[in-house]
Order: sequence, then C-alpha cells, then structure tokens
Amino acid sequence: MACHRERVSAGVFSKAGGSRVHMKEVIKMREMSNNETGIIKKISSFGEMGRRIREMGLVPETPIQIQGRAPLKDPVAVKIRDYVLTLRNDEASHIYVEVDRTKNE
Amino acid sequence: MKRNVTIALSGNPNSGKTTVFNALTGARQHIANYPGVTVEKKYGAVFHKGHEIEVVDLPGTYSLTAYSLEEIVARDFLVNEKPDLVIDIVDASNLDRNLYLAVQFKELGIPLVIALNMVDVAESRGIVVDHKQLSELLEVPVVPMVARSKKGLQELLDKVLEVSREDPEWRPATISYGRDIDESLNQIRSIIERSDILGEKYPSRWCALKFLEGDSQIREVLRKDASLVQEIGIIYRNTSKHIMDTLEEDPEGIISEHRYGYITGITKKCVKRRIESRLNLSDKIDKVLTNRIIGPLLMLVILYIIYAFTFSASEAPVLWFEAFFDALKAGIASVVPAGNLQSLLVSGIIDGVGGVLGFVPLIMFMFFAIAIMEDSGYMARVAYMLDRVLRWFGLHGNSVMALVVSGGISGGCAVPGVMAARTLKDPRERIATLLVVPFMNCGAKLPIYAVLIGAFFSEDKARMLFILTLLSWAFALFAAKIIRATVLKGPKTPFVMELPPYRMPTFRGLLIHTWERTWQYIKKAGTVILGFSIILWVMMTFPGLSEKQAGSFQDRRAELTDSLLSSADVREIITDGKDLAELERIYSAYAQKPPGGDAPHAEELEKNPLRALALAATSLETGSALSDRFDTTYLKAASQYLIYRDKLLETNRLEQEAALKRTIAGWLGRRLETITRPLGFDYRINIALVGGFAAKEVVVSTLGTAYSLGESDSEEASSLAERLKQDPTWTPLLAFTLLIFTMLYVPCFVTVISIGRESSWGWAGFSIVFNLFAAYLVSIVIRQGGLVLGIGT
Repeated sequence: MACHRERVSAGVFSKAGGSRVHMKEVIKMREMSNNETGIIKKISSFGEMGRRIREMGLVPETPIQIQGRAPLKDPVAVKIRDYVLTLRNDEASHIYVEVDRTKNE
Repeated sequence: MKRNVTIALSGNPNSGKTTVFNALTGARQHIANYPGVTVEKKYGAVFHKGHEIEVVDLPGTYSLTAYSLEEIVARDFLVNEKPDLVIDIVDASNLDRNLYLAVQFKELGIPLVIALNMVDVAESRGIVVDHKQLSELLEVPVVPMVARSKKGLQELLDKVLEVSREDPEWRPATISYGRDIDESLNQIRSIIERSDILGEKYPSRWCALKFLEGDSQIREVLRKDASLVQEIGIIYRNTSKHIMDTLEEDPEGIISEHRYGYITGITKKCVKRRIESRLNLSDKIDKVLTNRIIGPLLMLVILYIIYAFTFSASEAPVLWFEAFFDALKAGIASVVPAGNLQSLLVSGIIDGVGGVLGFVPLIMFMFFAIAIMEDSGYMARVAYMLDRVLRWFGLHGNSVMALVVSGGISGGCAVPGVMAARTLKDPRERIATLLVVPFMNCGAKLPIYAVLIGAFFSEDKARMLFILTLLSWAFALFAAKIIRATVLKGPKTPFVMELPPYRMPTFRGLLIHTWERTWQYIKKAGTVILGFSIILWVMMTFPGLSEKQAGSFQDRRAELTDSLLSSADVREIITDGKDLAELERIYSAYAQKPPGGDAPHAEELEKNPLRALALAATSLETGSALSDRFDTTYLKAASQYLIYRDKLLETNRLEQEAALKRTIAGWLGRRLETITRPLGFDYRINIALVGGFAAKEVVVSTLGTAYSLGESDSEEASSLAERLKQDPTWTPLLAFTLLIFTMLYVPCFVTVISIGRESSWGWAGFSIVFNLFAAYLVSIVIRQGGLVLGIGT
C-alpha cells in the first residue's frame, strides 16, 4: 500500500522492540536519496520533456536506482535498464517512484 | 546479375555505430562517446563477395520521431531514399533502450538487420543475450559482433546480402498499444487509406501512430487535406481525453510505455543475467570522478592538464611552423624586389595565412585532448558536473571546455575554443558559447597586457593579471546570460543525457577524430583567410606616403649618409656607400651574435678595417672591455657610425609612422576619434585597434609604429612602455580602459571566420557588432566613472 511521505520529527527516540513496519511510499524522484532503489509509477510530464524522459526508458513499472548527484546536487544520475541517465531536478520532479521505506520502530 | 546494395547504418549514440562504419568502409569518420556528435550523413562503400555495398551513416538517435534534427534527417533518408535495408547497431549491454529504436524500424516496415554489438562488454557485466531467441522473438535477423575487434563483420555482410536478395517490400509490424490506442489507430488508418495524400511513401498505420505521438512532420503532411486532418483531429482529441481521464496520461506516453512493455517482454526471455545489479567498473570510476568533493577538484586538474598539454606539446611545432614561414619570407624577399609586391607576399599573404596555419599544431593537440575526453566518456561527466552552474547563465556543462581553451586560464586561443564548442548539441547553447568565448584572455592579448601592466601597474603585475582573468570570466558568463535572455531566447531544452560507460579510446579512433577536425581548419586558411589577409594588408598599406613625403625621407637619409662619409674620422675607413653597406652587414651580424672572448686580435683586424670598425662599434654599444684594443681613430669612427645609425633608424620610424597615418587604417583611426574620444582613445590607439582585428598581437606592434618606435619586439615593448609612461595623455585610467577594451572588442578575424563556419555568417557579423558594443559600453563606464571619481587620473 502506498502512503504519503511524512517526515519523522527528529525528536523521536522510541525503540519499540524492533518491530518492522513495511511501508511503500510514492515520492518524487528528486526526493530520493543516493543509492535508493524504487519502481517508477507515474510520469506527470508531457510534450517534449515527457517524450525525452520516456524514450530513454523511464516508463512506469521500471526499476531504478539513484546513482548519485552532481556536486551541486543537480542534475541527478539514475541507473536504469543497465545504463546511467542524468536528468535535472526539474525533470526528476515529474517522475513518481515507489520506494520501500521499511523502518525499525 | 550482381546488383549494388544500399544500406543505412543506424543506432543509438554510443552503440559503436561509428566504429562499425569505420570498420566497414575505412572512411574517416568522427567517433565520440558524447551523445549525438554525428549530425551529418556520411557515405562509404564496402565490397563483399563481388557486390558493392553502399553504406550511409545515419545520425545516432534514440528514437524516430520528428523532434530533433538528427531524427528527422535519419527518417527522411529512410522514407525518401528507400535504402535496401537498415542495419541497426544495438548495444548488447544496454539492450532495452537500444531496442526502442529497432522496434520503430519494424513498425516503419523497412527491411532490418540487427547488429548486436559489444557482446563482449555485455558478457563481462554478466549479461548474456541469446541472439537466436532474440531474432525469433523480434522476427528480425540478429548478428552478434564486436566492432572494435572486427568480430562478426563478415557475418554481418553475409546477412546483408542475404536479406537484400529477398523481397524488398516493406512490411510494417503491428504492435499493440492497448485497446484505446489500437482502436483509434484503426480508425485513423482507414481515414488515411481513403485519401492518397501520402502516396506510397509512408505506411498508413505508422502514420496514424505518428499522428497520435504528436509528430509535427506527419501532421504537417496531413494538414494539406483540411477535411482529412479535421476528421483525424476529432479522433485524436477524443482518445486523448479518454486516456487522460482514465489513466492520467497522453497518447504519446501510453505508446512509449507499451513499446517498452513489448521490449521488456522480449528481453526477459532472451537475456540471462549472471549477476544482478552489481556495480560495474564504470560505476566504480564514477564514484570517484563525479564525487562531490574529489570530482570537481579532479576536473580542474584534468582541464588544467589538457590546457598545459595543448600549449606545451605544441610549443615546439609552433616554432617550427614559424621558422618555416620566416624562411619562406626571407626566400621571397631575396627573390622578389622590395616594393608593394614583396610587401603583399610577405606582410600580407604569408604573415596572414602563415599566422593562421601557425595555429595548426595548437589546434591539433587541443582536438586530440578533446577526442580523448569524448571517446573515453569523461566529457559527459564534465557536462554533468557543471550543468548546474552554467545553466544559470544559459549555457551547457560542455561550454566550459570552449571557455577554458579560449583563455579561461590566460594564454589560450579562441580559435580552438570555437571549435571545441562543437560538442554542444543545442544550437542556442552552442551559438551563445561561440559568441562569448572571444571575451576570454587569449595568448595574443597577453603582449598588450604586458606592455600596459608593465607601464602603469608594475607594482602588482600578478594581481592585475588575475583580476583580468576573473573579469574575462565574469564578462563572458554575464554576456551569455544576456544573449540567452534576448537574441537567443528560447524554451529551456530538457537535460536528459546518458552517461556512457567509460571506454578506453582506440588510438586509431583518436587519430581519425583529430585529423578530421584539424583538416577542416586547414582548409579554411587556404580560402577565406587568404582573402581577409589581403584586405587587411591593403588597409594597413595604402595609399601610403605621397611621392613628395617619400622623397623628403629619402633626402634625409641621403643627407645623413653624406655627412657621415664626409666626416674626417670616418673617411679613412669607409670610402663609399659600398663600404657602408658591407659595414652594416657585419655590424648587424655582430649585433645578433656578439663575438665573445675569441674575438680576433688587433693585428688581424688591421687587415680588415670594416670588420674592426664593426667590432669597435659593437663593443661601444655593449660597453664590453674589448674597446681598449682599438685606437682612438676606430673608436671615434665607431661612435660616429652609431650616431648615424640611430638617426637613420629614427628617420625610418618617422617614415613608418607617417606612412601608417596615410593608410585606410590610419584614416579610419582618425575618423573613429569622434566615437572613441569619450574613451580617451586617440587616432594612434584606434589604428592599433583596427590592426588588432588581424591578430591581437598586432595591437602592440602597431602602437609601436604609431608612436614611432619601429617594429616592437618583446625587447622593444619595454621601450613602448617607457614611451607611454612619459606621455602625459596616458594615465593609469586610460591604460585600464584600453586593457578592458582590448579584452572585449572584436574577435580577431580568424576567430570571426571560425564562428561563421561553425554557425552562420550572420552570427559572425553579430559577434563583431555585439563585442564592439560590449567593449564600448564597458569601457565608457570605466573611463567616465574613473574621471568622475578621480581614480587613476
């Protein structure tokens, strides 16, 4: 089940016996952290940008992994379909990715 | 009967397409790792089993829509020229994305052979492609190969001949895009088939598909029939709305998703992975080379090494070129009598064309370095790392190479810089880069800086040069920002760029690469540059002195000679003009290479009085201890001779100054005074700046001539500095204004021509006007601001 992403406030120190909560969230690609993996769910960009993104293989149900970011945190490098693609954060904001945010609580 | 076959070579950028083309035809072709360098269509031929196969190299593309120029070029060739078949080069290590193009060829229906390239690289990464199964599933012949080592090339050619013997009829494949799209496709298809607007050129289902994909070219063709396009338009809008309502997508998105779905279905069956998603070598290298901290530092080091390599490696060859042209000039000067013809040949043509060809080694090494960056895949990383910074100025990550080579570190050259801008794909970004690289501090501007800084800012030379370097970057980047916000305004092009895997460049590839680009540069020197050299020479030479003026200088020289020869001290040794000429010859030989300790003794010298006199003059001039070997007669005569010589040179300089004033450039310099007065530039500076259009070095030498200092070499540049320092009109403010003006004003004509060749003559003209305007504006602010604030006056 996908749920919306919520930032856990920094003041939480609860250690509830190590129970694991499996949480699948759909977030924007630009919000993913480095090395995080996920599966593309939706692309909300159309026209030329939408076409460029899709023809490079970024279509729903494709697994991706964030490879890294340029020194100024933009563009972002993504590993997809056996190659590395770079796109700007502007473009990455239009790509929604399901990530596994399993946490120990 | 053996018939000739025409094939088109197609494939994604970085799929090894150019390597295949070179391996097939042996043709000189550009190979690069940076996506999309090949824009032109190239031809070559290969003979196989008695057949001549014509190979056309199509631009590397990811898709076959009509969005980019490359895709239109590729598609138009296939549709209009109807080659016998297409070879699609497919990178086996990156199969999914490469097949996206192959599927579109299938839909177009053109006979297709897939060359499954780089199977070795794929296997090293644990990816094994069952090419037989791939061939069955796609219903297309597949030939595995390794183009780098020419493996599989013969099999590929066998397959080409085999397929070309089959029925040449195009058979468009039908791929399902889901019920909604398929239904619309059928409706549009039947409407298109009722009309004959498309003729035989395009398959009807393919056209329907392209219409739904929003293809502008196909829509343009269909628009000729208004009722037809209206009918299709209704279907398109209904489909779009339905898809948007139910799936929140547009038809184009659905189509590409289904296409990838079809591909994934195939590759899941025929690709075996030994190891799942492990970091490969290329990824590991990237962890270092694009690291947040180490990455930029390494990039600076690498850019600096390229810069240092380019200029140090080319140092010796540049000198050889110079020596060659000097020898050629001397040769011509000895054959052709002095006069306008000699001046045209020596100062006009050889200085002009030679000056340009003199850049060849420099450019060659620069291209070589860039070829390594491109072929290895590093160039794409540079663009990736710098994109964020340069994007703000409307440029691209790759613009940095052009800026650095042009003089981002003082001492570059804008001509190779302009050439380096070729790696930029977007025309707006490329032209903006071309327009601002001349602002950088190229090597030819350094002599001017040396003179002016030496004369007016000598306390802090290094800091001043550093300030000038920073200013040139600032001006270039902000000029780019202004250009991109005005004349080159346009929507931001999406930055969706592949980081190709690192590859070891092949030496052959690098050489082909380098030579191809260098040759294009050399060809220019023979044509446009020759013409421009002659025009500039005419401007700096004609009309020249009137006969009366020339006569008066001649008289003055004769007068000087007469008075020397009639002097009592000299008469004994130099009897006539012939002796004087001989003395001059020996003296200038000594002046170039002073005789050291093994100088001949006085007794020997008695036998050759002219030689003794020349030696005496040399020792007087240099103040060496030799002078006590001579008796007073010789010393007196020598000092008389030296005075005569100085006066003669002074006369020559005055003549040069007078002559320069009476040339078109001189006239222009005077006319320009009305405009340049607010900058504080008089006609002498103007003439120098006009001359600087030929090459920036000329500014210093022309300024020297204009101030009657004769030809300014580096040695005499110091005397120019002295001369300017003493001139009351020259203030530090004027010097600084001129420094900035020189930095910004017109690019030298070689650069202008290069810009013209790389963009259009319109942009070359714009570059002149824009740079002049920028220089004038900035200089006037500096000058007037300085005057008001009383700085440096």
